[in-house]
Amino acid sequence: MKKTFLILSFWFLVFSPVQAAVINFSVADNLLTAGEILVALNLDTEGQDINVVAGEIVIPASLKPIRILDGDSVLKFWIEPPQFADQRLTFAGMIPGGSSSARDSEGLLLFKFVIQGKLAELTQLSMNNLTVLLNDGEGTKLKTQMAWRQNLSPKEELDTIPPENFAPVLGRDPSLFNNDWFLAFLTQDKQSGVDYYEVSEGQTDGPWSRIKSPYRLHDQSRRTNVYIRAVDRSGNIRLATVILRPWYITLVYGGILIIVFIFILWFIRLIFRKLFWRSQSLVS
Amino acid sequence: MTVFGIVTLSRADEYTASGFKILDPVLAPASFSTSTDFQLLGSLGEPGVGLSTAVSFGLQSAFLYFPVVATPVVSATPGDGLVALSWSAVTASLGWTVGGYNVGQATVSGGPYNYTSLGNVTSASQSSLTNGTPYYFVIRVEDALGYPIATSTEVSAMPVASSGGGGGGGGGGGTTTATGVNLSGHGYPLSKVTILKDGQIVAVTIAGPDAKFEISLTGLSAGQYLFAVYGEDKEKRRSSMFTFPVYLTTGVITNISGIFLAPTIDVDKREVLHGENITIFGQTVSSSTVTIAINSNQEIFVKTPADKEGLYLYNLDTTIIEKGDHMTKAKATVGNEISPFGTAVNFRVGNQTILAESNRGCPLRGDLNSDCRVNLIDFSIAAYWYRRPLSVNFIPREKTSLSGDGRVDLIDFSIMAYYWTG
Repeated sequence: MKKTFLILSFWFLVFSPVQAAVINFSVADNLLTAGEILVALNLDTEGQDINVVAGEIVIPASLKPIRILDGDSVLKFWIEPPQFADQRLTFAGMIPGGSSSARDSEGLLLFKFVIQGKLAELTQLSMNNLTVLLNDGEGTKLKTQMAWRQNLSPKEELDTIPPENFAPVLGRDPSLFNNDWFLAFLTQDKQSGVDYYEVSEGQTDGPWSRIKSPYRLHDQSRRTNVYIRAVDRSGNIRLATVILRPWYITLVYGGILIIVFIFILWFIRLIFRKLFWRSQSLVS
Repeated sequence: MTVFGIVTLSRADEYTASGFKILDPVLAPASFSTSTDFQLLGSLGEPGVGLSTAVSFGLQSAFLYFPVVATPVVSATPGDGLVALSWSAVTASLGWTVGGYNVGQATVSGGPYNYTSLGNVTSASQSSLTNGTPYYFVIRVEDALGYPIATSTEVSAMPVASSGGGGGGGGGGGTTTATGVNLSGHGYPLSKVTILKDGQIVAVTIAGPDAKFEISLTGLSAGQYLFAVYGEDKEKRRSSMFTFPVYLTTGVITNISGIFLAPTIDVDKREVLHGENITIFGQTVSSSTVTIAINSNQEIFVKTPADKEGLYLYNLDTTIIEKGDHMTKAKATVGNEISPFGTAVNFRVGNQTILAESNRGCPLRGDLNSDCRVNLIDFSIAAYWYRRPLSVNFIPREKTSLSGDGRVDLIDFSIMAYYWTG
């Protein structure tokens, strides 16, 4: 299929050339559906280690937001997952441990998104509140700068793979939910990205409710198993099961096992004694 | 400054002695500075780089003895007739600027390598290779004038025809259907090395007596990953985290080699009386050379050796630094490999001496549930309070573990990401 690549870059803020990051859009049209345009958002950190990126892309009314693809994003922990709302695309993400790209490189991929409209109207895209924070332990804000990029050619592939296996973590903290038990969870989907999570307490077949991490357990006695499923942006599902059992149930079960074990020992001893007594009787 | 004897101290400063005075020293080695009508020739000492020795003294000269650059970490992913290479971006300072990278390619381990200039990029695809033949690569870092300033350790890969079901990673090569990654490098002797995949712990291993570690992760799906590695020394001090983004290809094992964890570092005093010594210590690779930087009004660098267990210790005489707040950090060199600078620790030079308290390896900030880790639980707690009015219970926690501005915002997540342990 013939593809037309148009490379666009946008200057959002112009500051001192010292400690600046460069944000780039790259665009490919004529994708799976006619009129759909795939846009990739990259960040050239100019060799500086960064760990948080956030912003808001304003989309003109002439362009229709279609979908977001964040499976390849360097932002592994979303503070605000990228989402469309009122012709705006907001996002905020974190890179645990930080990451950097070489000076003047194509940069770190933040995410891609698909919009419908005319290619020429993409120049009307704008960005608000772009925030890039250094991985310096203080959250120092990095200034941003513009540059042209000519070598990006994003492509979109069909996603048939579910999100990765994950194991929700049970936690409790005085500052959260009045010290009630909660589950923290996160997984990755390397293709289209995780869209949302759903929970069902007690039943593997639902009903399912959409949730975010942290999730406060309804059953604070923790007798009910919890099922959380991650759904990617292509509808593929990964199920995680959290088997919960309160400590005293474990203690009761343990106690019962010990009692049964003692009873078995006592029973065996009884049989041996009877056999021994019988053999002694036969000898006498 | 050049000091005769055993001292290896350098300050980018004007300085004097009883017999001489140097003003406005220029950071330029011999033959680096030329034009049509002049050439700056080097002299022993100030502009030259290197060590001059005699029976009774050693001379470690000038600013360029201490420039900062780390050897790049390189990944090699074999394909059909090609090997995709990517490497960590190197930062340099104190006289050096990274101008670009060269890739060295050989069919024999150890070279000789055939070098190709790549420019200032962090990835390359070596094509027109013979399938089934192992290839060996190094990445050489050049300064702005084209002089080599660091060379990575060797990484290998064997291209395999795509019909064979995938390429083989590393020197072993061979076909495989596994998708995964091999990570190798230097930690600390017999110490714990933790591997994170996309911010969550996936493996823990123990480095050998020579501080080397190697770990293989398989069963992964193709896609973009962020691997991270950190070490823990014998006193449970954690190193700074090394992160490396890499794209894994289906049916291929990618080798990431040359990881060199920065030394751990600590000080024996939180505040030291001006004029007294403060001890800077930590652990790194056995028998390496540790460069300690002390950030003051003038940045000071000293070198000290690590012993067979990788332990190092330096007594800093505080008469040479001014009163006030300071911080110190360290990097290590062994052979041609150079670690990046690690996490900085703070101390104060003042009017009294206060001993430092051990934090038992707990992160200084970001640990919201006080379990000595910064991980998904802490992220979830912070995510809950993001842009919400804080509860009475959480306000003191935000003050001690995050930015302390009475709210949870992006800066707090940045602090958390910096102190992340997984």
